[in-house]
Amino acid sequence: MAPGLLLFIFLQAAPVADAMELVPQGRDVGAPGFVLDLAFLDDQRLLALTEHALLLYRIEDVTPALEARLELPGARLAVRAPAGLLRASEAERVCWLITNGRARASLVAVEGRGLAVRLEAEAVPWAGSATGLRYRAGTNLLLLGESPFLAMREGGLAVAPDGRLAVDGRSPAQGRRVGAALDRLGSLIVASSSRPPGATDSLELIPLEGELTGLAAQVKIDGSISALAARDRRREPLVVAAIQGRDGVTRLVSYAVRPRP
Amino acid sequence: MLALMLVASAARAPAALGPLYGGTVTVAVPSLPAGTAPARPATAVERLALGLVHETLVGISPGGDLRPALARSWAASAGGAEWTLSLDPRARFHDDSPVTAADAVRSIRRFLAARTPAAEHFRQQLANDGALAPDADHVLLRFREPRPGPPVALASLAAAITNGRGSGAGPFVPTLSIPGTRLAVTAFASHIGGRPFLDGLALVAIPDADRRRAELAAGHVDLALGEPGIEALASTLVLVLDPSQPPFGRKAARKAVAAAIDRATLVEQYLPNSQPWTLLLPPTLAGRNAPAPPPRRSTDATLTGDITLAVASDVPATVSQRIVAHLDALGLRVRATPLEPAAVRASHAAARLLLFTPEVAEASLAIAELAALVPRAPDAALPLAAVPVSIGQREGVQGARAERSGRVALEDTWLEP
Repeated sequence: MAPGLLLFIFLQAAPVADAMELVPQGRDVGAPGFVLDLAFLDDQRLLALTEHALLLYRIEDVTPALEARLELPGARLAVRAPAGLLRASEAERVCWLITNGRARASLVAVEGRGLAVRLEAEAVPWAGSATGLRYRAGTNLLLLGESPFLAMREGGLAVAPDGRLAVDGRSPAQGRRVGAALDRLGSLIVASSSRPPGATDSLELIPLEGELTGLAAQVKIDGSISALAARDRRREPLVVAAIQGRDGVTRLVSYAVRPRP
Repeated sequence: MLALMLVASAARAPAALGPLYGGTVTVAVPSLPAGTAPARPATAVERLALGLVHETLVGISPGGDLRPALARSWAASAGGAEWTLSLDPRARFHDDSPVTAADAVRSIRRFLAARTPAAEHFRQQLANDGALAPDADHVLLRFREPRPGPPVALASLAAAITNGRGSGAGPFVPTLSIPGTRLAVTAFASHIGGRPFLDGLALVAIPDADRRRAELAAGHVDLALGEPGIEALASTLVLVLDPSQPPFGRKAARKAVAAAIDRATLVEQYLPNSQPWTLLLPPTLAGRNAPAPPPRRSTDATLTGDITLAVASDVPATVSQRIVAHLDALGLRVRATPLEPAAVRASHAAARLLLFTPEVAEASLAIAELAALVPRAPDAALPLAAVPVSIGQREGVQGARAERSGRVALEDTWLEP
């Protein structure tokens, strides 16, 4: 069976434990600041949100190359733990962004090789919510209605304040705990670990099934993962992780997702 | 089987994410101050409580440099004889009013009137009526002589900025104070450093050290001041002899006392986590080790007479008993009198035993403060041990820190899920 087809099957159906591996690809790229969130706009373009700016990268093969930068508008608020969220729309070539260091959410359009703010709002529009998504003032907790979350992704994926994974609003009592960086890749969840800041982190692939306790792959990271984005690029899945090293520098590192030989 | 192992592993895995917002903690402390108005803190618990509620114009970084606080920047003029501090436009008081230059100048005048050691040092440098508010956002300080920067004295908790209604601008808002028993505070969402991670905390007075330890071990409290854990060697245990009173007017008598005290044994037996120390500045400011001289267990000197030893209440009783025993062995009849730390500083007793923690964590200011404490003979102050300011924490509590100033800071404390 061809490797691509085998991977396709893995991404459609939940894999068994330790069935996959995450393999670093291409060159690491230094990011200009602490990365709060990452999101693929399409197969070739990646957005990175820092405390101060939105960055647009072009993915050359598997390595991100900086293409555009947009300084975030508005006065900065003081926060102890910076956090942010990106919600990209490939069809509309826009993304919503919000950080806990600014009072308002912004809608940013990707125009050729540039970025431009199109709209500002109180919150990020979110499916199923009349009030949208915003940060509880001064904290890194996203509020969907009155419910707080550490992280959210479209498609019903979220991390509860205690680190427990939640899918479609359901958080299994014994479910795996993860960090605040995550994304979805087919039938897998890509997430950072629940280890405390400063300890060695890990990148984990968790099958989206049952009580969310399984682990399809895990790779140790020398540093701390602050953001993740995953995309099934023409059946060649790519995960990009923003990793803050012990030197305080954040780097973007690409990983291939493969069935374990 | 593998699935079972994974479930078990998930349940056992350290569930520490973070830092996480939310939750409350209880902190056991030996005593509680009568109030939280800005003042020169005399004890670790006063430093803790005032630091929770108040904020200063400038602070001191872990490296010892001046750092922005309510003032975000400063600039010199008149060849360094004038310094203008720009207030952070985000700075607010607990009652949500903005921090203005008028508030800052009023607070500086209050600080000068308090006549703390740092205030006296500041007063000597400041020109007459040298604190001005040219507009709402800037504080102008005029000095008698050019200076290399704004004075570090402004980092004293006695120089904390309050508004006319007494509101502070610290990381927590006081909500309940039962004098001597309990002080409860809640997170201040508009703190200049960002909202603290905890929703709130309560300081609870538990005078008995053994009970504090037991409550922490049992998990009934989350943190206990004075217990080992997070530490900074920010205090010096000092025996101050008054050269104007017999027998300490004689250099030989002071020398005899210095030789009689065995610092190593004192530390080993009665001061856990401390170090024998021969400098007056604590290690956080001295910047180097000061190993104790070899113990001299006997001395030929004999002293006579009755003396009073004023003992600060934050000095462990076993330590003061040991010092009394040393003085007694020299031939002195010692009457030990326990007093509040501030009272010991002002006391006219022939001998005083106290923990010296500088008002401001800066060496030149600390030396000036020591000079005021020991006005005559330098050898009249005997440093005995470097003593940590410490706080013990139960498992699952993260982010507490002990600063070089001797302040235990809890605004970055958070709870693991």
